[in-house]
Amino acid sequence: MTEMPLVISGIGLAGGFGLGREALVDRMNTGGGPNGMVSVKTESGERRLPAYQVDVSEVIRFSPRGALRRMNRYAKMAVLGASLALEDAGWDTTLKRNDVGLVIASGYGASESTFDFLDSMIVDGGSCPSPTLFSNSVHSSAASHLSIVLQSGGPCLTVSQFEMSPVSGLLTARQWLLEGRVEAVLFGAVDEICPVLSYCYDRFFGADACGAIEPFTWDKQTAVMGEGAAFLLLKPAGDASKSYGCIDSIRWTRSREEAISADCNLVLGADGHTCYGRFYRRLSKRAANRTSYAPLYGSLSGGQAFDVAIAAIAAAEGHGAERITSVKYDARGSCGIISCHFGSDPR
Amino acid sequence: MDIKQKLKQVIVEDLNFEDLTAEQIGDDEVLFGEGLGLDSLDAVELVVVVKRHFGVEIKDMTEGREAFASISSLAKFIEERMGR
Amino acid sequence: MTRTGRAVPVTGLGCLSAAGGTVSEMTETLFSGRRRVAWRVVGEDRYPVFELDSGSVPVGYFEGPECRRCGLLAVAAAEEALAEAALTGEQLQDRRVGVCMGTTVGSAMNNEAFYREFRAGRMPGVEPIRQYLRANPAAMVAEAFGLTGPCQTVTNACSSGSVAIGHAAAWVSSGICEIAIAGGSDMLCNVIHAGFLSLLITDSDPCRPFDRDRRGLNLGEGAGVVVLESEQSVRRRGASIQAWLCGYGNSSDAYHISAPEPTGQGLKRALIQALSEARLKADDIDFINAHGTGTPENDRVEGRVFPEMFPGVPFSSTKGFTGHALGAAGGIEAVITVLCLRERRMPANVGFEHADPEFPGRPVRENTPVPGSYGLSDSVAFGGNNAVLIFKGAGQ
Repeated sequence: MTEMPLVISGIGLAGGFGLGREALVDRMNTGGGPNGMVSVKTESGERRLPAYQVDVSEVIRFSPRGALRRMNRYAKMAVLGASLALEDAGWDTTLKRNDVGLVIASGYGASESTFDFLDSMIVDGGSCPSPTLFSNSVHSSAASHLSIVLQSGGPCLTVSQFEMSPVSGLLTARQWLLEGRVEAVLFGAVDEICPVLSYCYDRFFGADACGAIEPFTWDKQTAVMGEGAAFLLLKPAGDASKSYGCIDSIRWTRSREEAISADCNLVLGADGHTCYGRFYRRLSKRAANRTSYAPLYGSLSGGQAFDVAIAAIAAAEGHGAERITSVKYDARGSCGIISCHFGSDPR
Repeated sequence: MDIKQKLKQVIVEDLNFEDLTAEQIGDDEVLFGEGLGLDSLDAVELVVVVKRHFGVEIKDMTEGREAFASISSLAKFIEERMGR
Repeated sequence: MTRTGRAVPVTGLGCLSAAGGTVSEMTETLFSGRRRVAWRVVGEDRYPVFELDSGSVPVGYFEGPECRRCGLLAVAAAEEALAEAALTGEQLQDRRVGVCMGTTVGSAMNNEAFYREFRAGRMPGVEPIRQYLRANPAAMVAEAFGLTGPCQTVTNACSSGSVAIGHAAAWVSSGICEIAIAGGSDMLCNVIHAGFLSLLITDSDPCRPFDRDRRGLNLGEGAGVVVLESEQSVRRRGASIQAWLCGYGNSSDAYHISAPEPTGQGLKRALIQALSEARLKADDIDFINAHGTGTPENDRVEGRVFPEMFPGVPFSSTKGFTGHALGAAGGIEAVITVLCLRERRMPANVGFEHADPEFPGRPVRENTPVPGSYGLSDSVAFGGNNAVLIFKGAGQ
């Protein structure tokens, strides 16, 4: 298999901790935790659930007002995350607009617009479904808005593979760079919380919800809903003025923990869900060193993109290991393994 | 409220113009392209808006195109068909 | 830009659509010129749809939850493709096999019945959501055949099927997997139908791609899948090659969230990229399977770009036989492109009668011989994503 290190030359984060590197580092120092609450209807009345929520109002800094008029929250999170990554990389003006690929990994897509469109189908006797809401309800809407805002005419992918969305999307991002199809890839995970997802979450786990993620408590459901965007500006090795380090290998496996070297620093995607807990538990037993960043950003499908981004920032801040392997499982036991080394040392 | 006024209001609200008020839209201002700057997606949304607020159906864009020239022409179109 | 210039063997095809439940049934339909139109009533109006014949749907299709149908269609098309590739379950277990599947409905959490209950405050049970979480099309294919390689469900709207095939080919050529099952699957769904109706791009008559009087698309459903395999694997097991995937291009219009960029700059970029990867010139292309949805805007763009970039190259849209199957369209049309290379002919563009004076492109009116070896299929998606696949016939 052809491996090719990908240089991380910019990181853009929007999450419950706020926007960008400083906000994240601040939260790392003060301790993570949900920053908001959502209310859901239950048999015994309203229930308030903790959640990691994003304030998207700052998107105005990156997008012309006209382009925002029809932009949903899902797309605003993508534009925020992607723009922050480009800003972090110093707005590299040598990149031509058609030579940048966009990869968006999303577990549930534009969930709010999906249900808003259903609303428009249901009200007024079903006679007035809204074409604008429909256009915004498709998973690819964030990529469309983003390509318009960035005026980026390169290849574009939206992948929807639940927890495996980031690793699946990264395989393609690397491929595009390997083939010389693009000079850089803006890769990001985007997911949003909406009332229906909150309701489902409560129905699935409500009774067990406790308010704080305990990533290494395997037999108790401690997940807390999260939303946000985590973007990486990726370039081929030797082609970036700024660098956090490299993604050295990207693997998708079902062969459980044998594929993972036990002596490395593991960043586990453990985010308080018991359904994957058993996989992480087994792996954890052999790990020399393990971390979970989920308490900083919450439980969401695109978590692995946050893990890689946060590990890179942690290393840059001197808080984290220089070599890490990020591991994320889905409920089927598929496993995404992303190995990185950070710092300025060449390979 | 007269049809023109209501139209301006629903355009501002339903087409998500955050920086525009109904008062800023002229009766004869061009709605599409130059002018207010509406586009093809706004056109089909406007079909829905007119149906929802005035109960008037615009079957296709050939019919819509003429009506959508300005607030005045759209108000006239709606007036002629309301309560039919 | 450096390009691999490496072609990936196609060893199997599988397809089901309104034009037939198998590749051979579809071949017969396409060259017969007959189309089978069904009608759906929405409000006071009725609209043509291209739905699967009840005889061609997979076992358990109507009995199980609706959200699993896209996955079941993908599995059925994959079964046919794997059978043609002569790959047994055992052989699949021994190899690293990936799945890339395009879809629209198959990834959407838009369960209408559930949502009606929810918004009425009746607190519905979450079983439909549990089912949705198990209905990811690529994961369903992987599960059905016990595959352990990477999965990618592409949700690029109407170019998804082509994009999935392009990415799967790259996975094979770079060694991420030895074999990839790739294509698209989608099903007719009331919610999506309402969306297209609201955009006023749905024809109330059977669609007329490239015709002067075209008024829009008709929705379709189905799945189209190809098996892509490394040359080494093909050689090792002595498999026969149906065609080669030799070029893929993808671009964004960066123009509008629902309308295509009218001058076709984005589409041209994807075409140039695919030609460059295949190391071909435009006049090497022998025929084009157009996206040709029958909407005024889409057909105008292709009707201008094709004569400009590929003067004299015959093209046709097969949406008149299959309807627009959205995320499945690129998969179905990739299969059609390969079968045209195999049959050495392309089908007439059904629904086309009157040339449109607004653009110079004219699709073929008759079944037309394909003398050469290169077929191109393009997909132009809602939201401005363009994808192009170039196939080379086997043994030519």
